[in-house]
Amino acid sequence: MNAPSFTARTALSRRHFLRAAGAGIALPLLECMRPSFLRAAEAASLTSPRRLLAIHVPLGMMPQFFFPAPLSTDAPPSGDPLPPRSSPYLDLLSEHRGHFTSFSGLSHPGVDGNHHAGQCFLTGAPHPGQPSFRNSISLDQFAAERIGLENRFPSLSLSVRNGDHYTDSLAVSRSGVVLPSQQSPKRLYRSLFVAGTPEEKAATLRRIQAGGSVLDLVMDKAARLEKNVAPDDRARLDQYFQSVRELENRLQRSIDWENRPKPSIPYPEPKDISDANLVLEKSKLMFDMIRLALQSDSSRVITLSLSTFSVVPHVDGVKNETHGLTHHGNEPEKVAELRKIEEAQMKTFSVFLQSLRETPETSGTLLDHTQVLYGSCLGNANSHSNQNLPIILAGGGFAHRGHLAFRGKAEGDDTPLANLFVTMLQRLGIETDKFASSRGTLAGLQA
Amino acid sequence: MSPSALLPRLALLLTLPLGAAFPRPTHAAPHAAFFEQHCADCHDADTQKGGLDLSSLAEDFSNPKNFSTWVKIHKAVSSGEMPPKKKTRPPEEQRSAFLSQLDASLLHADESRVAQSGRIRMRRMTRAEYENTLADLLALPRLHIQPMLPSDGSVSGYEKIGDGLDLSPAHLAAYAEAAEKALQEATATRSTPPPVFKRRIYPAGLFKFGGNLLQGQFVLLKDKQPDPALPVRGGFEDKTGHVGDAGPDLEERKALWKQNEGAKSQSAVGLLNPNLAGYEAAMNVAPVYSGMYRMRLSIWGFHWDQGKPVSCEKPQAAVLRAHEEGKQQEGGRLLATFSAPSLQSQEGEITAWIDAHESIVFDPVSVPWRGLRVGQVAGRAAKHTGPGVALDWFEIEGPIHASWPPESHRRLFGDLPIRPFAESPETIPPTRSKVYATAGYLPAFPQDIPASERTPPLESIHSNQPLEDARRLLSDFLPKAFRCQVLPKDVEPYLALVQKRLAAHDCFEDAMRRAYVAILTSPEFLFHPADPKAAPADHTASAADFPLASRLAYWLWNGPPDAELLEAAREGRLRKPEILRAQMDRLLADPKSERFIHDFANQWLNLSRVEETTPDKQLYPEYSFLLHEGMVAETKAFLRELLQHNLPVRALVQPQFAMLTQRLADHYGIPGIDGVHIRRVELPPGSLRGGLLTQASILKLTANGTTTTPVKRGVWVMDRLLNDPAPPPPPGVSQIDPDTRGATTVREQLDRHRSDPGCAACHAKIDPAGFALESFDPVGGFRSRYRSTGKGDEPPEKSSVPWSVRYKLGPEVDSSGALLDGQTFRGPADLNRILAENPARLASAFVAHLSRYATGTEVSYRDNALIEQLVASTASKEYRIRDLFYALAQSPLLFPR
Repeated sequence: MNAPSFTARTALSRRHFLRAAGAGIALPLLECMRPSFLRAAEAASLTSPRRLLAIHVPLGMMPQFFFPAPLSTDAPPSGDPLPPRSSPYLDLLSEHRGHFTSFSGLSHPGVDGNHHAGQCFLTGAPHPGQPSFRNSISLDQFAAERIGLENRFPSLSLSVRNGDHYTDSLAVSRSGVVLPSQQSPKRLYRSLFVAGTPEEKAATLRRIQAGGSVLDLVMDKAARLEKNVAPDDRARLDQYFQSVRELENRLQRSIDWENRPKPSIPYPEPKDISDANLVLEKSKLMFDMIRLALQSDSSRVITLSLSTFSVVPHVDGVKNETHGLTHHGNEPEKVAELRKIEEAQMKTFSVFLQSLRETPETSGTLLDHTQVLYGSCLGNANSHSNQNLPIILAGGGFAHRGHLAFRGKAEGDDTPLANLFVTMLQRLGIETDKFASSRGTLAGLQA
Repeated sequence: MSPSALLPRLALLLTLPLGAAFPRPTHAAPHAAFFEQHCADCHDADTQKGGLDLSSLAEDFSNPKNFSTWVKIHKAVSSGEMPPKKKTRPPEEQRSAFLSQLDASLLHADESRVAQSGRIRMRRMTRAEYENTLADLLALPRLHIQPMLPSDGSVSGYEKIGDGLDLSPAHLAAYAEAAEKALQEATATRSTPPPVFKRRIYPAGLFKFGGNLLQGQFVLLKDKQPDPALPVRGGFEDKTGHVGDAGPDLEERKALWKQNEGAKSQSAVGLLNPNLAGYEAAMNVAPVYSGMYRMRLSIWGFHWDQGKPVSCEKPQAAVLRAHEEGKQQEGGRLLATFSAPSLQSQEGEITAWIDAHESIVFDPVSVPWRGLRVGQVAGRAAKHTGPGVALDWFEIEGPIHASWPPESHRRLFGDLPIRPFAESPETIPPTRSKVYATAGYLPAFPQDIPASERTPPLESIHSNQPLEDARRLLSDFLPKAFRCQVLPKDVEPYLALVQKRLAAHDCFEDAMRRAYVAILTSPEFLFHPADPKAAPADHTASAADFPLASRLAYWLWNGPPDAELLEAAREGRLRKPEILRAQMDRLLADPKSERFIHDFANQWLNLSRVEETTPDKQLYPEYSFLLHEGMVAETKAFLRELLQHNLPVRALVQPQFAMLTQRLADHYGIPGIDGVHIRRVELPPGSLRGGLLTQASILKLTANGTTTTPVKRGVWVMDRLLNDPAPPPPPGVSQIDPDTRGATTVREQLDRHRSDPGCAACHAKIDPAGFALESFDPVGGFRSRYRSTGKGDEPPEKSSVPWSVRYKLGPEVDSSGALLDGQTFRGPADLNRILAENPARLASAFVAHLSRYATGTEVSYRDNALIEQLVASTASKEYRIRDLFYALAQSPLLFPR
């Protein structure tokens, strides 16, 4: 493996130690394994890895129930923390007060195109749906390149969905390609935790090696071809080259990982749920898998698209398909029905946050070391607006102090959502002061 | 562009040799004078209105950014948008002088660009192309690998355009995986064909049917009457509403049903509800082996009249679907739709590919869902009235193999024998998936599968001289895969790979498979070639024509060229107009051209978006599977009809015929059409239907399932039909908040929106067509009043339709308006007439769209001029659709000449 791994270079690798000890995964870090260069003050917060989880709900949340009512007095300057304020939806997270911040008035500048905007939730690339649209690297992939490489999965892209609607993965590569997402908790579980028999392992290794020789061959072909193409076409072939190289690196890594034992966990292999309308149950199962993946340090960067397109969720009082309901035309019955779905989703999210809080780590809990972004690129589904996005950030070691209100586009303030992303990246330990359309960090959010 | 402006350009194009068609103009000063006089007030360095500063705009047309700014300036002045109406208009001759000079400069610059680097750039295959290429190359009729591949980016709605077709590690990994799957499917793993399973199945004996019969969801029928072997279930007549499945009579029915075993193999079963959750009417058949299966069934329709079947006015309809293993409750894959004539058994037959372990399900799709199952409503079937479909029996036979090993296998391994695998420590055997049957389904494992088949012997391809055989097989495969001539040395790297894998103890089959994966992920396979650098001097023997064969095939088949096309290219014949035309006719007559119709409709018309919304059940209860299927079929059949009969382009909007199924004709209010098949129906003059704009599919995909907005439909008309897309809305504009409570109409809401002058300029252009189409609801039905869930009057159709009507009739629809040029219209018929009166405009827009699909390249300034030219050449024959295809194929847009 070529990628430098700072813990491995400076101290005994934790995984190496665990393998040698044959231990489970919840062992605390021993003093001798701690990277030697860390200052004592930092050490306490870095003993558990910093992680990122981003969740997108493509159909958004009804603004009248998500955002706290505006204060009667004039809003304070952008980014000032406000006294605790809540809303019907945020009330559902009340037990996690102090562990999350909600935001209003944030948008991705230039990101429009209603449902098309979903693919830009973590990229901020402007004007999806327009002929000339080019997507750009997503927050998770940017982070994974920097903090994910020493894990079995540098990043995981997951989705709960029924069919293809616009886009169902949040992860976008550096070249703007939407990366496929895993939908099956069972397959995810197997890749994370189930080791094959020695024969299966040997077969996998053979397959990887054979794949390697195929790559050698096509690389050579492409090199020869490149001599004969016009300069304008070379960029296309370059993408091919880079893809082959990256795949070769991945093959190397997978050979490495194939030889290392997988963590064992006290959680049985799940069965996939096939009824698409059981979307909440599917979400819960996927949340379990995410918790296990984070806890076992199989991956530090995860995205999840939780789509309710084309499903009639099993929620009391819900009879209609969710996307149809979001075009409620302000009819009270439909609004009430949709509210039931959105509240049920919020409760599921709350249970998930609880499970992260109940998972202890060396210092604090899994939630303390995991930034959980939850939100939508749709501000109002009924009007298809992509402004004033509903956003929550939980955990990750921030000093969460309730709701942060920004004035929003209508009042001449267009604080980019990407400002929040920069703050998040910095908190992950990544040195950057720019991401996508950011113009700085997000005022008012402190570590 | 006006015809008068076009003439001098045409003259230029026709008289000058290519590459010099647009001579370098002498210029500079006149632009400056024109700008100074008419534009400088707003677009100087100080004001820079709209971000445009003409004083600093370089006349460097080779810079792409500058070039596009100049194109915008040309468009703004030629359309009359600039200078703005309130400013002084430039004198006409000044204006036209400015325009023609700028036009010449732009043409020259664009032509130079093309002359230097060609028009069509290298691009990778789309995922549909990848699937079709593998399907044709490996002779796999129903290869399904698209879901394994990352989705393609889209440019102007087209997935074929190079700028949207990036390549990433995720792509390459997915290609390898998909290729592997296709190769597995293509390879025979046994020396003899798998055993054929053949069975006639009577539904009453099936597990799911039996339970439903007992509970009274289904009814048992004999000789078109209730079968006394299991009487129609009634009960609970004193109550209303939901009564559930249980009841004191259930034990008695069970006993009776046990007694009358014989009925299970004779009687028909009537279904009075559509198939809920996809598995109620399961045929309990799930093949053990993938392959082609022949399926037959006998069905009939009826009207259920409180306990007995009577004649129904119109034929009913049913479908067969295949559901992936473990996904019996999900949508499934449609195999075929059948008509069920009134009280008359009719046999239907299809032959279709079924994957191993896909299960077959029956669904009486013409029966509307009314919110409750028949057996759970008070009175049950004994008191129920409504349409129904009866199934007499179902037959299945397969897998059917015309030859063994199948053609797909021979494409990879020729006639090498398949023999028992010789175990040896030196060679690792190929892996085989286990043979198994799905529990509870036919064929049943112990009874229907001979013991020898349950653990078949390990067999594989045998070669006595592996490297010689490999060389022969690869030499045969490579030119087909790469779609061009291949030199003997090109085989070497693949042969070396085989050798390497054999040395690593792979068996022959596995080693060859690695080489095939390498071929199918090689750049020569994945990329479509760019334009040849220069037109070869010698036209008779030019390998340079292979790209033309590919372009034709990926256009008209959305797949690879076949041997005949490649041969014509190799011999240099393909560029001859009469040969090209004959080959196009051949391609379009081939069933593979259906892939083009399907894909082009999805990209040009956004037809795939018809799947994106589920109409509101309360507002549009008439929406059903059968209606949906009819909508999609109409649009595709319509394109096929235009192309097949070479109809004038005005038929796009005013064909005077429509392609209809029974359900669609009902939906449109056109009488006398029976049966599920799609057919051409002549319409009386003045009929609204038939053309694209009034097809239910287009009307649905431009609505959101609940409401319509003139903006969305107007944008579609401008963009897809007229190739004049509206600019995106400026950032931060407020959107309309749709309201279906019956208080306001979208027109009232939009009028408020449009009173803002910043919005009005664009919306005056976008909205009119959308206003005319307000006469159609989100599922394409005609309406004179909006449906509402709140206020309104009871609809008159309430008692006459088979579905339950819970909506009201709200405000009246106003579909009148005026176009930007001042022409007024009273509704959709006027709009169609106005559009049909300008066929040249329709034809140019159509060819621009067609060229994006056919050439995978955006339409540039110079391309527009070429399109005007080729469209003009079809004017004398009314701009016929197929003529436009021929003209595009012979223009330099497709291939440099």
